[in-house]
Amino acid sequence: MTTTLLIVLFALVVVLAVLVVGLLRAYADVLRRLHALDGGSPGQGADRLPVGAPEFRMSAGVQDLPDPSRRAAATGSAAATKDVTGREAEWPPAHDLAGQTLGGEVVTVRAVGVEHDTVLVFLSSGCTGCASFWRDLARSGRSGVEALTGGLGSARLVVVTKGPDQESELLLADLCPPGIDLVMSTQAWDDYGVPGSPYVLVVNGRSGRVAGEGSGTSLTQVSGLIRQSVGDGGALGVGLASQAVRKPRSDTDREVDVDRALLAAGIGPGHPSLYGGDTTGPAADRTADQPGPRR
Amino acid sequence: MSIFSPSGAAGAPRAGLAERLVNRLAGRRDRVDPAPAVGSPVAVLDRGGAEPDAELTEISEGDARGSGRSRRGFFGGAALVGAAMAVNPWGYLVRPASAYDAVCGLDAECADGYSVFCCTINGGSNSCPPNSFIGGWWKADSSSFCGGAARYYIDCNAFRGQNAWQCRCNDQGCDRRRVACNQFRYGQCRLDIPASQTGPVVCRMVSCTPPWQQYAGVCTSTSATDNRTATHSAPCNGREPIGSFDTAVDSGGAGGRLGIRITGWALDQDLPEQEIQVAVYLDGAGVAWFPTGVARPDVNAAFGVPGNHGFDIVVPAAAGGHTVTVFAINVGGGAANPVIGSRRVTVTDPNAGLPRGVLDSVSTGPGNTMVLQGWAFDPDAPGEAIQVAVYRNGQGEGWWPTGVPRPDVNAVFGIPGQHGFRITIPVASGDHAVDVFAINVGGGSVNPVIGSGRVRDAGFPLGRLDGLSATAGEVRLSGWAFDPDDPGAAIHVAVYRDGIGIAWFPTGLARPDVNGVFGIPGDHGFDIRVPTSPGRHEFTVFAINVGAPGPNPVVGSGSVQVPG
Amino acid sequence: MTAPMSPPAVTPLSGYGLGVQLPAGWEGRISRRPVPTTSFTPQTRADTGPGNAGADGWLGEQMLPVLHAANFPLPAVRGDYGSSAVERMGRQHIFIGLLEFGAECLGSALYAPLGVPRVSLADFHPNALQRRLPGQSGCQMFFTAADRPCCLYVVIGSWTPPATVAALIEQVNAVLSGIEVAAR
Repeated sequence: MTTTLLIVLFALVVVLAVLVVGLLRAYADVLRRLHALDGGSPGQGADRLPVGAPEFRMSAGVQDLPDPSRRAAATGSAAATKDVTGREAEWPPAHDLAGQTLGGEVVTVRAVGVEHDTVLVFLSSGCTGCASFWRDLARSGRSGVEALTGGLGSARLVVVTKGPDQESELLLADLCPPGIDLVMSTQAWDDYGVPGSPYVLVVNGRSGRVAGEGSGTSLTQVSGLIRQSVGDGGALGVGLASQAVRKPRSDTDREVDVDRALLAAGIGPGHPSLYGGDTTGPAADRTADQPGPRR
Repeated sequence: MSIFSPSGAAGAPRAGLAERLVNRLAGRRDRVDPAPAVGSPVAVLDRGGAEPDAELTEISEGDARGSGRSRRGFFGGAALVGAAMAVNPWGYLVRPASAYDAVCGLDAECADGYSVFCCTINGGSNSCPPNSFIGGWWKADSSSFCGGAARYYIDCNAFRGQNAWQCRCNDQGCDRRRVACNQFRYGQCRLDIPASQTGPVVCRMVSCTPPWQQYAGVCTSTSATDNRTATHSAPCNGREPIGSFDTAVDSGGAGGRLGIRITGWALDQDLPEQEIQVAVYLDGAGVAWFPTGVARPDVNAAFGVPGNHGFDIVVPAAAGGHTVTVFAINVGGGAANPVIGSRRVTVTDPNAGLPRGVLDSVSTGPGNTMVLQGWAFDPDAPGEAIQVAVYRNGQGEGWWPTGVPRPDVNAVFGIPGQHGFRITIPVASGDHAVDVFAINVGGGSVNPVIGSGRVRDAGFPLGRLDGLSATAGEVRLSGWAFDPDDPGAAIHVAVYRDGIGIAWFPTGLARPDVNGVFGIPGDHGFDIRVPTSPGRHEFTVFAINVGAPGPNPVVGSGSVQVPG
Repeated sequence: MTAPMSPPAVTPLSGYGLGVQLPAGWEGRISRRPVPTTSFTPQTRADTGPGNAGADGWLGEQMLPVLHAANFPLPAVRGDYGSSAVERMGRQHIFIGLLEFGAECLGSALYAPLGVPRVSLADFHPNALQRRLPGQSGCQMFFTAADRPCCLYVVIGSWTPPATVAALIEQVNAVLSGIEVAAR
């Protein structure tokens, strides 16, 4: 009897120990993920920005609200806007993509006049700095897009290389993980004036303009910055590879309908009427001074 | 990218314990990674006594490296199990969980929107149930159910308007998919049935054999792909083909080609009347699929099945030792294309060591001659000149040695010496058939023919001066002449007396004896009287050529004393 | 201030003998899967017997062009009839698939209708789907255009109310009117 009791107790202790270890590892994963979203530690590893590559910058007028609770506190006054670059920039118009995939599929990818945002990652088969980007896309043996979903919100990710006349399809086939949307289009490089690879562009689907661009040491590093440039429209747009549904589809569709109606009436993100504030006086003046998307 | 994990057991392995628990609580089906099936072409399980081939097992090892099970995943899963146990421990523990359930794969619930498998609702038979027809098919690539090759799904559609089927969800077993609900058709089969007569999909069959082969005449071959369905299956899709690899022998160079002749039989118990295919590997490399179709009444009697399930195949193979492995290709459900046998065979080249050569050309030469050119050598003495024997019109003409330099032959075969020949043989006008043999100097007693040819030595007239006689003041010449270039026509003969031309005289007298000997028509005789002074005189008769430019040969000459 | 850009009205897309005029907000992909290059060929029945040599490749499998058009992002990897794409559709989304079939289908009863069809409300039903998904409805038609047998498969993200469905069908017909099938 005593022996049986001891055996049972021992087994219970083992199970509890396993549970504790599992919880600790899960916690470590969370910490590591948060650390990566913050862009990693300075001087960590040997990754450096490609020589001459511009740091990622975002469009003016983007709401810097990483903490949802802060957004709730902003009601009653005009939401603070921040120009990360510190200058008022005229963001260029975006373009749709036309090209072909590695499998010879001819494609037209819409980035303009759509509900979602599009993240264009310009890579090549021969650039040294692209290696970390290819690695991030292939992380964990799954679609790199799923691993980056948290960083990209619900925007669409497309890898863009130059056309078959300037790129090696065989090398790209080795580099590009399965399931990644890759379009070969020299025209896209020309349309966006891409200075070199790696290079990342965020296109705001509704405004049809570039909302962020630049480069980074890795896609993971840039994804945190990208997430901030993906506006409200992106959060309500069509999701990426993840099949998880955050909310019932009908609710999402209803929100899309509401946004469409507001935009048609000239009420965009940041409009004071959305926050119940006085449309005259200091709040309105501050809003008028702040550059941002206007209809 | 393969998601295979190595497994020696038939059927797919279950998902991990923690993963199953989470799936149950989330109301999802277990996600399983199907294993390469036993005996599939990528995982050799030999039944014939030969050793498994290393090349064929590489894929399984590679799949094992990519299987994804890790210590980290176990700990993470354990944490989830702990949480699940805290929420609903009794419900999970007491709910009956059958490993059987894992065989149905993804999307096995009615709400998932897919159609049921025919064996589930058709008494276990992987065939279209009554009141349905084959409407089309699609494939899922790289299916573990077919050893890494494509798995084919063939839809059985109802006939619209018959109302023989009602839309429902199957509620038996794990294949709880839709029956006669999805109004959809893939469109490659039964093209005679229009869309207006097409009803919903009753169920779907599965096969590892391409439908345009298995249902030849019913299904066409336009491909449709949906890899999402790669794991879909049902427990009743289960029996593997059976068979026997009876013999493997050297084909003996039949048909002038080295090879291995293999015989045996194979059939699929899911569709025992179907004549299936077998896949043949030679030294680990795939050769081809071959159909059964040879009558094997012994197999029919033993298994009580109709059809011709035997195979009798010659597989090309070079001289030397080889391993031949035969797989039976599944046409039903099942999880494997099993090995039915593997054998070791040695192929011998019956022509090894014999002389080799080529008769390059046979042509006419100057005068009435024939010229033969070519080369020959004996591998048993590659640097030595040998002899070639020439037969003309079936009669031996003689032996001639090689000895003409042929550097091209030396380069190709890597041998020294001078192995060419150029032989000139006098022949009469007419057609000639020649055969040239290379004389063996080494092992064996065969002198092989190295070439045959025909030549026609035409262009020169033939003839003969049969009679030359003299009377007072006159000489009589008689004989015959013709030109093979125009054998039916009369030609001329020219008469010379004492070296001086007298005149041309035509032939034209009947000479049936000449016609009979040469097989020609026409009148080719001549009987000429030439006035001549007394004394001895020399007469020469020439046949005048009427064909291609050439000489006017002498057909006869003689001396005669003309009396005074 | 940066004004939003107006998307282009219509964008043409063509390849493999198929073409479509994509309205604003629509994207498309035209593909042709590569012919399988395995080492086996299923022999014909007439070849049974000694002396067969075999051959390489899947004898006879026809890989023909497939056109996909949608007013939502099409994933890079899709089934020929839209699997992995249709699962992402919302109520206002439309998926159009046009698949070519082999010449042996010419003149058959199934492919008898001529010309790229147009669709109507009566052609759609929640069960007319390759895979039934909640809220969706589908339509499938077989036809021949320019001597090329084809199948049209349309999925819309709504079944009710009729006004919503009618508006979606109008968009479908707008796209269908811009589809071109070139002669072989």
